[in-house]
Amino acid sequence: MNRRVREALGGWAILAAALVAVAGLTAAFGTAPLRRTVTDFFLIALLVVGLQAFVGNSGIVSFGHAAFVGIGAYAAALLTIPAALKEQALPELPGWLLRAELGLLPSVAAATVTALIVAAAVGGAIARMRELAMAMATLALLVLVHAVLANWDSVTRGGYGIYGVPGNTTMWVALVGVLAGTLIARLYRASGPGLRLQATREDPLPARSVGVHVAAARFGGLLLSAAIMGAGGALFAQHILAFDPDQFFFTLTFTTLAMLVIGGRESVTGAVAGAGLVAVAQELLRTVELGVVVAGVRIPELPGIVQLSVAVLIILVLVFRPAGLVGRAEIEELVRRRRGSPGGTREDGPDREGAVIPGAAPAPRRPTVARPVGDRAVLRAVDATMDFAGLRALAGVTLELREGEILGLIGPNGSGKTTLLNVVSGIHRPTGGRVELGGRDVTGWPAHRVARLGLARTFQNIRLFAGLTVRENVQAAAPRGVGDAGVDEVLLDLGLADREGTPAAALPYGLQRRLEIARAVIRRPAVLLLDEPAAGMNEAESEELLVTIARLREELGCAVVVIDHDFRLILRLCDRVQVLNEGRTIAEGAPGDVARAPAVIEAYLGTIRPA
Amino acid sequence: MSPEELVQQLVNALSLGAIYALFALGLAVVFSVLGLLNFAYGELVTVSGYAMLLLARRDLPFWAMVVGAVPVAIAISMAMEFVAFRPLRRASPVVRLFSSFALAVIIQNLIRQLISPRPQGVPVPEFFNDAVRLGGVRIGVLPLLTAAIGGACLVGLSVFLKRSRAGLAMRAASQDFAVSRLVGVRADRVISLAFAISGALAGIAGVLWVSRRTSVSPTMGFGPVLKAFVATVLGGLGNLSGAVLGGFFLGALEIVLEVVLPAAWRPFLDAIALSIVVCVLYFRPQGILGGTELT
Repeated sequence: MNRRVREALGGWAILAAALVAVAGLTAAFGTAPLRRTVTDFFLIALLVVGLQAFVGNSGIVSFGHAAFVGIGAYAAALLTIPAALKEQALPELPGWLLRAELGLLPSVAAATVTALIVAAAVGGAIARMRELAMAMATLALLVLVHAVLANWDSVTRGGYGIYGVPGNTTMWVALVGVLAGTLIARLYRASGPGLRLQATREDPLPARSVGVHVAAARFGGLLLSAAIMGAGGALFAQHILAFDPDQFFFTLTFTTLAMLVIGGRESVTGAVAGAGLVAVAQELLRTVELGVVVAGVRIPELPGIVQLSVAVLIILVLVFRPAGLVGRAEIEELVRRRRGSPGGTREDGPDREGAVIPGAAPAPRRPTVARPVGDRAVLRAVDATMDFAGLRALAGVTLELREGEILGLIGPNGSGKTTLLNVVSGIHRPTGGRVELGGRDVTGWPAHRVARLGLARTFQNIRLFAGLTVRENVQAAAPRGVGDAGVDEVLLDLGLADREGTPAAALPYGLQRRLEIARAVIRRPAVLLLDEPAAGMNEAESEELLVTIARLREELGCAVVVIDHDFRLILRLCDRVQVLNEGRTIAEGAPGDVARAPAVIEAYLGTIRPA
Repeated sequence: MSPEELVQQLVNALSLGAIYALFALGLAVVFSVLGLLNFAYGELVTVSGYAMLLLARRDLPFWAMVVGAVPVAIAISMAMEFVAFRPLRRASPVVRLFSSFALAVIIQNLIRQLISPRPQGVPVPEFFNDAVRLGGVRIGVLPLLTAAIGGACLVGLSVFLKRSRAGLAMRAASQDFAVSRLVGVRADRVISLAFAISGALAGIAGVLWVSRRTSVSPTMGFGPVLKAFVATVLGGLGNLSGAVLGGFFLGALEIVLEVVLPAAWRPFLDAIALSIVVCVLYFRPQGILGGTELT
């Protein structure tokens, strides 16, 4: 069990204790109406947690999750209503459904499966869309399901609604439901798939380049969260006993989203806190809505005042605390901060930016001589061409990277260096030519597949998972089977260990560049592409980087392509240098020779016209 | 189907499509400039409808209701930007989507509070229900008017965007907002203009929409915003021509379904139309014109 899972379980235990305490106090001192209200709260909290599993981790707004609740509720109702009643109210049901009289657990299971089936049927199309298009598609899903529930009279009794559902959901059942829901959501958030989904939320492009299939990650999150919603719907049905399709439409969508956004959508703690806060506010406001007498003056009923106030609260929260009241942190992190022990973040440690990388202290003068370069090509681009709407960025470049080699790729701005990296790493599909990785033709493969085959890269304009911590950035990239120890090792190796709890966006620039390398290195790549790793670094930092890259090549046994404008770094680090200009190779060879080649001097400095 | 019926249905499809195209275009104009998906866009249609209602209660003639309603929608649209979106201009698209969602609920409930929670009838001229003879074919006045007005608005907007200086600035901003600012396009002005156009389109479409349904209700904006969402995604999010195309496609699809579906299936029309759209998007997740440039 890794550390994230252990922490998630610890945090869940705190939440669980609080929820159990609420239930216990209500059972001991509460009246029947209060027990009902608390049951309502547990169920809505379960739904908000289910919504969080998708919206929080993927960063995609869903207006459609109430549909899964409705599906679960109707499925459970049809399977639990006594047969005699069904014969009377819904005589057209098929025989097996008429006769079914399931208990609580089987009905919850059946509802979950039904919601899963629907999610699987529509999710494939939804998960492939762009982020905001997905939000719209979920709204369409809500309307679609509502239209079916409201008109399928022989099964749902349409707008008349359904009644006679047995009241199996007691307060204790609802408690168990919300405990199970929070446990699943916490474990998912801590798990590899959950973390990778969070990585796509932060930035889909680098997520792809560390092997994440973005649509599949989103689809997975959608399925899990639809399952929780379906189960929640089943419990809800057996709590309210009679309902109609409108109960799973706009109001439920609004309420659950409001709770999630106000509490903090990126943490399960935020979801539960938001549910509690908004539920209490709603109870208080509802008395106002029905009309109250204040100091002898009767304030008339104010229809919609509850929704209105909650909506205003949403906007205020978004303006002043965009991540929600609780923020991104889970409860155990909040507790830790409260106690003043910074946990993983030792931000004020003695050595900071200029830190010497451990293990690399006695830097060899010329570190690249040790390992002989092999003959086998691990990466090959043959005649690669790339056109962007009339602009030819690559006009047939051939690149061959041999085993264990460090190849420098240089050239003036706009010469096609980054485009070449994008083509071989699957970010762009080349217009022409061929790309081979480890002897396999990977031309036109999507980035995540190329990454899984053993290619890792960094980005020129730093693309970290900004909101995730240093450790999470590396962990999200870790291939299967690399545990905490492997992550620790890489963090230590790149001098990031004492910053592991810091959000990536809060790192100083030099460390951000190093974190990009760490995220690539954790994948144990056969080919490592570094796009201007020394950009913006001072001399000491780039010296340190030079040593690091050389050492990584030794340790990983990988081949490296480095793009950089720091000529001295390239000359000292690389076994071979290839020079691009205007999308073509103009020189290639040993570093010293290339630096003296007339074509290169011309490309960089222009020609000297005879007087 | 007789040729006469065919022409009638064609006009129906064009008129419904024109309304949907206006809905979609108003949403897409703001999206293309700001990257903001304005959920409260539907409420602009609502506001325009309620402006008609309030003017009708003062016994004003229909043309005055129309002339009054559109500026109200424009003003509310620009006010929306000022109150709910300007403070969030640097926020993520998700945050702004949530904000617009909350704004929609605020407007709905303000109408509940200030006017009535119940639907209200809006009087429309009786000749809307008449039919005219065109080349031996009877065609409803309202569908004909709707198609004509909708078409005129689309042409007018297109001319504005292509010929005027402000339109050029809008198109530049919709291509690349940051770069357009570098070449001297004034951000606040373009954004205000986008919201004004969005409000005008919602206002005009709202008048046409209310003329069809002859009633208003606090939640009536949900339909328009959904149609606009679906049409813009179908056409290609952020692409103005795509939005128009998506609107006409959706309108035509609904009319075709209305004609071909057996009576028992009619209630599922919306669900079936949406399912077909989902199928289209499965094969073209970027939309029909997605990925191509704005023309």
